[in-house]
Amino acid sequence: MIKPLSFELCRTFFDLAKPHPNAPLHVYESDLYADWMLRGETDRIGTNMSMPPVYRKLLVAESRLHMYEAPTPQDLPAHLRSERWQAFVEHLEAWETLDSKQRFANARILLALTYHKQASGSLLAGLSERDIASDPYVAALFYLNQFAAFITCRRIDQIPELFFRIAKDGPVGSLARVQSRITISHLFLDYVRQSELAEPWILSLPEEFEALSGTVPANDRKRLLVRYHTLTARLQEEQNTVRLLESYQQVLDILQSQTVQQPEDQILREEAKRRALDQFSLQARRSNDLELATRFAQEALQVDPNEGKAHWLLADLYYLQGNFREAAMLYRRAARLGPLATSRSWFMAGQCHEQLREAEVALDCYQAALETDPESPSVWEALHRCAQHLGIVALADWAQSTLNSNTSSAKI
Amino acid sequence: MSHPLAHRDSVFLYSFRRPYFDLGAPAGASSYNSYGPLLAYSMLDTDWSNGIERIPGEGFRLNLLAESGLTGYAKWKPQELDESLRTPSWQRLCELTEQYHSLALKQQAKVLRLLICLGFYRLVLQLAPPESSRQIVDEETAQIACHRAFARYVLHMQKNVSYTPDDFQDVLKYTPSDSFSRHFAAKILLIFAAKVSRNMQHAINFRDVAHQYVESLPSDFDTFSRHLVVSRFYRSASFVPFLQGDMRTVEKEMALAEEYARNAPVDTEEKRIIVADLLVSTLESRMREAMAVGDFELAHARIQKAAEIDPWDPKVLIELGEILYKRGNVIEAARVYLKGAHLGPPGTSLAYFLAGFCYERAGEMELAIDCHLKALRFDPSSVSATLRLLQLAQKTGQLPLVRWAEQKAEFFVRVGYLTPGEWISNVSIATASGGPV
Repeated sequence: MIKPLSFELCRTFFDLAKPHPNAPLHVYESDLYADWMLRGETDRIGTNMSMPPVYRKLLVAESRLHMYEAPTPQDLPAHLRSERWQAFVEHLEAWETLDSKQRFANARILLALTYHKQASGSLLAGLSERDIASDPYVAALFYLNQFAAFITCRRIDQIPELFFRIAKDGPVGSLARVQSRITISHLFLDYVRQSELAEPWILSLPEEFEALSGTVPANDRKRLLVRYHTLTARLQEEQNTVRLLESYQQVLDILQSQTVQQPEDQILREEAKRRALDQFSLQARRSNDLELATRFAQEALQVDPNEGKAHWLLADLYYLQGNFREAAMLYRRAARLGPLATSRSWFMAGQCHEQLREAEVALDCYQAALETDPESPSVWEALHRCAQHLGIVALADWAQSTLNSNTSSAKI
Repeated sequence: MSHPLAHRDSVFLYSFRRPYFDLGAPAGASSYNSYGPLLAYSMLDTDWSNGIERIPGEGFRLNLLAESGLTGYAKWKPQELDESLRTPSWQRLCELTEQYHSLALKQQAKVLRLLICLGFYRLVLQLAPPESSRQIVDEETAQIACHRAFARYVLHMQKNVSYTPDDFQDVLKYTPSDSFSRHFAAKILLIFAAKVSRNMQHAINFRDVAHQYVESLPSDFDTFSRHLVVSRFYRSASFVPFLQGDMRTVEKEMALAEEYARNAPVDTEEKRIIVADLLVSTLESRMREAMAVGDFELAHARIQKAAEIDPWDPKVLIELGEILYKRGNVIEAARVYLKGAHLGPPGTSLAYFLAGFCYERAGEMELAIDCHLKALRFDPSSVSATLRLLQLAQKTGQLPLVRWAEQKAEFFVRVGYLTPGEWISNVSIATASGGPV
């Protein structure tokens, strides 16, 4: 039987098979790392490690393909593994015998496939923190290990000290040093929310990028520069549309100057563009310029038309502007494209249909939302409201009794 | 996905259709036919033996269990259900099923009736021996033979495979004219002759046999049961004039069927449920009767009335949607179909498919796509939903969906659900007419 659409689109997460021709760009992260691992190209810079730890688990659950449930890559049954997954597993099983460079190449795949728990555990066996200053791959492994642990625990009250150590003591011209600085910048902006603390780290980046010139290909360094420009745009506290558009033009110029020889060059360029557009859209939204935010989000969707996040970012903007019909369409498309926001997208689609006075359709959306997140009180409440409005007593009673029992168990 | 809460009370279909899961009562409002198993259970201890009209097929049970996600209840026999999930009533059913062969014949018949109401048709075939219909010596053995024959009939009809109703013929052969089982068998044979074998003479003969019983009902036969028997008889008998094209007689006989159902004296809750269920069933037939003469307004009024009597029956809602669509009220039809889909089986996939079809006609392509995707979720082998989805995905330029639907269609061709020619012609017909394929 044909497997669900989310399996086809995100196949690489299931078994490291080559991506579907219409796959969203985030799928290429693990694909490229797997290719580079096999080719021994460890100094390439891929996309961001953007998918959270629950991603693969959700993907498998929502696709109802439970045979792909594998708490570790080694747990995936042999008959379901692609050749690349098999090679990857063999490396994991021979971890003790791998040098730091090989370990780094495989650790990146581990994180790209969202095996954060495993990456936060056994990556560092036999390695010493003392080597961070001398071995770029050891530094990178410590960085990945810390990153995985941080993302898994989500302790946002403080930035792990190790990031600062790698950022300062990691070998100049190493990916770990640059990546730590970018991560610190993001954490100061997004979690600590103090842009003045982020600023020195952001401003240090161009010099750090320069130091990569001996090892990292020019295209990859240019994409780092794109990230620098999206970060500097965040430093604008006041509404400054002109400045934002200037930053965007700079990003376009940089990406335009890239040489595209291989299909992967194109993919990496598009992915960088999409991410920059996401960031610019969010920045414009923070500045209450919904029109500009919408323009950026629309363009992001054109760049990556099968990415769920691109759909719901734009849908949110339509919703804020009262364009519920368009918003509902995009939320529905987002939900179809799979995690991470399936339940949220269905819920928001329901909200739109309620605004449009289409209670039956809204009810359908809320039922779909509960399938992926059966514990959301907001969804239960909305379901109850709609069922009551429609006079579907059986469904309203059930929603009410579930709400009551959830409330009482919460009290207990 | 197995239900993440894995807690049955949080599963709507469990609370809505609970009798089918464990013979517990529905938690709130439910369709009248959900009470069929409970009535059959209560009749284990009485001599009264009236039940509901709308007994679902095996597919209903299978779909209900699959759609609920409560896989622990997916069993072929009551006694396979884990003890921790059994209610006292279910426990008793398990014991009765295990001791079936040592039960009195009368009790055996009642157990078979209960198993049929729950959808355990295969188990009925296992418990009642194949030679039941040739071992009829009295009304009890005739009832057992009828239950077995009925289980076989339902299973065969469901699979759409070759079938001859020999066992019902045996019931006619071995029972006296005043036997209720004979009357029941004659009605089934009449329906089979009218709908399947299309043999008019057979249909007339079986109608006469069934009528003989109605005519000879003793004067002390209880009034409530008499109304039920007569109503059901006229509804079956109307197949004969229908086949003859005599719509006036059809109207007359169906009116009698409705009148007898309406006037059945109701003095208990059980009787109220039985009559409501019979009335809904009769109004469904009367809707088709009105449709056959092209009177959609009357058909609408009749099925609307049925939906008012039993607002929680998805099948009635699907029929109401059909009439609304035929009367040009496409969006309202889509809403009614969705309401039907929300109530689960029978027909969840069909309801979503039809809602999708209506939304497509109304220009709501995204809603239509989601409806077809849901139809495919509840019935992954739906060729029609796949083909509609393919077209809609093409129209809206959603390439991943196009590719995915194409893969499904290619798979259907490979497994023989669809020939390449049918695929092409279906797609082109649908494109030309905008109608379902």
